[in-house]
Amino acid sequence: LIAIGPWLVPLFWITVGLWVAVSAHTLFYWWLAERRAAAIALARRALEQPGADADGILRNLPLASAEELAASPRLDDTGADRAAGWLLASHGERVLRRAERARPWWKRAQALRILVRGGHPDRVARLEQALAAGSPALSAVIVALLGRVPERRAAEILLDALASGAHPPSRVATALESSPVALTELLVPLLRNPSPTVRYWAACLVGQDLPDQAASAALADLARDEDPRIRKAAVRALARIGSLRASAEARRLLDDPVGYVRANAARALVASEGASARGRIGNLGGDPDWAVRRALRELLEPVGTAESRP
Amino acid sequence: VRAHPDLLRLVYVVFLVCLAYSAVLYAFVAYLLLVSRREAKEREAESALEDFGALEHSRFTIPVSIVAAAYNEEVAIVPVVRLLLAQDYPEYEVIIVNDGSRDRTLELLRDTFALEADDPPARGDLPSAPVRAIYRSRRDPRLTVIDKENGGKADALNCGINYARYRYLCCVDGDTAYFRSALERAMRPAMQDPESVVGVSSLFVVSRQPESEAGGGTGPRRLDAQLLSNFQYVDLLRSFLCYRLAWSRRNFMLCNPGGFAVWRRDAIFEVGGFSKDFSCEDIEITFRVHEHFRARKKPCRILTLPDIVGATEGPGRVRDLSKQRVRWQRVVVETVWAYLGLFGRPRYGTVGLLGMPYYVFYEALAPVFQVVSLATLVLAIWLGILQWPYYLYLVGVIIFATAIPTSAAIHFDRANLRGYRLRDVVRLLLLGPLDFFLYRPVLLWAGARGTWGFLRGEKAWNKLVRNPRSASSS
Repeated sequence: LIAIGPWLVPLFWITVGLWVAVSAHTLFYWWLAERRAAAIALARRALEQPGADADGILRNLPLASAEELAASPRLDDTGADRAAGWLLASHGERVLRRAERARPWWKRAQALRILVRGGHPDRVARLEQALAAGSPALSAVIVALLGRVPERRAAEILLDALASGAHPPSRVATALESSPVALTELLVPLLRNPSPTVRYWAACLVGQDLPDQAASAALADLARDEDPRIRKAAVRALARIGSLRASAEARRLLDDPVGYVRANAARALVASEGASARGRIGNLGGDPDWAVRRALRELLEPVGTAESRP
Repeated sequence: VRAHPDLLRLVYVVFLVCLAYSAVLYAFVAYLLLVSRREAKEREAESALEDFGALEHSRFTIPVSIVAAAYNEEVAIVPVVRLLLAQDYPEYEVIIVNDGSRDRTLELLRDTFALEADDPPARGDLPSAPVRAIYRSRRDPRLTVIDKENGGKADALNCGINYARYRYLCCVDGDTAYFRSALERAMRPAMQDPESVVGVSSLFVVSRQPESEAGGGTGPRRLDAQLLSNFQYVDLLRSFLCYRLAWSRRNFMLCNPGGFAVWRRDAIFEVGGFSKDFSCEDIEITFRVHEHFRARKKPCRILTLPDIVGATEGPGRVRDLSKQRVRWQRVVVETVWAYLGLFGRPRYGTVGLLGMPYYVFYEALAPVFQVVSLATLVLAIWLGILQWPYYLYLVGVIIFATAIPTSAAIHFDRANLRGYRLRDVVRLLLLGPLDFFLYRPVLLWAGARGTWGFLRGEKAWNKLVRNPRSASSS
C-alpha cells in the first residue's frame, strides 16, 4: 500500500467521479426518455383522432421524435399515414437521404418505413436496394415492409427472396401472408419449383385470394409429391381455396403411409364436405398413429358422435 | 508484532496478486459494458421496429413447446399456468411436468383445467423417471400435464421434451410468472436466423408478487418495499444487461438460465438432454451445447435479449438467498471443472478464449481470491503493517468501481423503467455503493460455502419456500 498509496487518492476520486457521471447520465436520460415517451404518446393519440391536423401536432415535436413516431408499428394506419405524409412533405430530402445510407441500420429502417407509409413512389426501389445490401436485422424490417406495399413488384421481390432462400422463409411467408397483392398467379410457378422447400412454402401460401384453376391443378399434383410435408400442405391448401379437387385428393390421402398426412387429409375432407365426411373419416378411429386419432377426435368432438372417443 | 521478513514478503506478494486480479477484472468489466451498451441499443431498436401485431396473427410463426417442471408448486402453479396459456403467440403448447410433487400441485391442475387422461406417444427417448399418467386439458387443449415419479428438474425437463411436438422448446420454471409478450419477444431472433440460433434467453426480474408484476397494472410503478428484493432486482439487471448481453454479442453466452430458456429441440436431443449429474441443469447444458456444436463446426448462437419476459420470486430472507447462491456457486464450479478442456482452445472460438477464462477466474475462483484477500487483510492488521488511510481509499475505489455496472445496468434498462417515479430510480442508483456493505458480504459467504460444498461433493437443491400469493392472483 505504501508503494501504490499515493496513486490511490486520485484513483479514488476518479472512480467516484465516474460513478457520479454514469449515474447522472442514467438519471438524465431516464428523465429525457420519460418526457419523450410522454410527448410521443400524446402526439400518437392526437394523430389517431379523426380529422387530426398532422402539421399542428408534429411541428412541435423534435424531428427525431416525429420520425420515431411515424415509423412506430404501434401507431395505427391512419395516424401513420398522416405522420409519414407530413414528414415526406416537409422533410422529404432528409428521409430519402436516410433511407439510402443512414447508419446505424435502424435509422435507415425508420426512414424506409416512413417512405412506405407515406406512399412514396420510389419506395419499392429503395426497399429492393436496401434488401440487397442490408444486415440481417435491416432485412427483417424490409421483408415486413414489402408485405405492406400494394404493388406487384413488392410481392415479386418477396417471392424471389423465398425462392433464393436468402432470407428466413417463415419471415418471408409472414410478409406474403399479409400482402395486399393477389398472390395466386405469382405462386403457381413456385408450386412446380425443383426445390422441395420452395414448393412447400408456395403450397402453404396459396389460397390467399380467389381460387385459380392453374393453382388447383398444380396443388393436385403436389398432393402426390414424394415429400410428405408437401402432400400435407397441398391437401390443406386445396381445402382452403375451396377447390373441387379437394375432396378427391383428401379421400385418397386418408390412406397415405404417413400419419400426419392422413390427419391433415381428414381435416381437409371435413373442411370441404362438412358433416357428410363424418362417416368416411370415422374409419380412422382404429388408426395406429396417435396424431390421426387426435385429429379425428377434434373433428368429431363438436358433434358428439360415438366415434369421438377412439 | 515483530514479523519474519518472509511473512511480510508473502503478505506483500499476495496483496499485489489480488490487486492485479481486481485490476484485470475491472478492465474486462469495462470492455463488457461497452459491448453491452451497443447490444442493448441494437436490440431496443429491433424491438421498436418489429411489427409484433403481424407476428401474433401469422400462420407462419415458428411454433413452440413450453415445458415447465413443477415440484411442490401448489402456491404458484395455477396462476403461472394461466399466464403461460395467455401468451400473445399464435401456435404453442404448454407441457407441465409434475415431478412427483407431495403437495396438491397435480390436484389443483386437475380441478382448475379439467384434466382428462390422454395417451400421446413419446417423440424422443431422453432419460427420465417413469411416467405415471398423462393428462390433457378439456378447457384448453394446448395444455398437457405429465405426472411422473420424482427425479429432479433435469429429469422432469427431459420427460417433458420427450412429449414436445414443436421444433423450438421454451424451458421455464413452474414458479415464475411470464409476461404475455414473452414468447414473441424471445422467438424473434430464432425466426430471423433459425439455422444458427440454438438458444435464447431474456431478462426476468425479481418480485415478491410475480403474478402481479406479469399481469401489469395502471398508475406509476413502485419498487418493492423490501431492500433484499431490490438488491436481487439490480443484481439480475447487472447480470443480464451488463454482462450477458456482451457475452451474447461476442457469442460466448455460457448460461441459458433455467428460468426462461428457448432451445432448438434438435440441439437438446443431439447432446442427449439435460444432465442429472450436476446441482443445476442450465449452465451445464449451455456449456455442452457450445462444446458439441463448435467441435463439429456447426453454426451455434445462444443469445440474451434485454426485454423483460417474466418475474420470479427471489428469496425473501438473507438465509434463503445464501442457500440459493451456495447452489449457484457450486454448479458454476462443477461445470467449469467438467469443461476445463475448453479453456484457451481456439477451436472453441470465443467460448474457449474469453468465456472459459472469465468463468474460471471470475466465477469459479472468485471466492478463493476473496477469502485470500480477507485473510491477508486480517494478517496485515495483526502485523500492524496496514496503512489505514490508504486502505480506506482502496476500499472506496472498490465500492465505486463495483457500483458503476449497477448504474450502467439501470441506464441500459431505461425502456423497462418507464413509469417508475424519480425517487425510485434514485433509490436504485444508490443501491450500487450500498451493495458492497449490505449485499456483497452475503454473496461472498455463499460463494465460499458453494466452493467448499463442491469440494465436499454436495448436490442438494435447497428449494425456496414460496410467499403465499394474494387471492386475486390465484
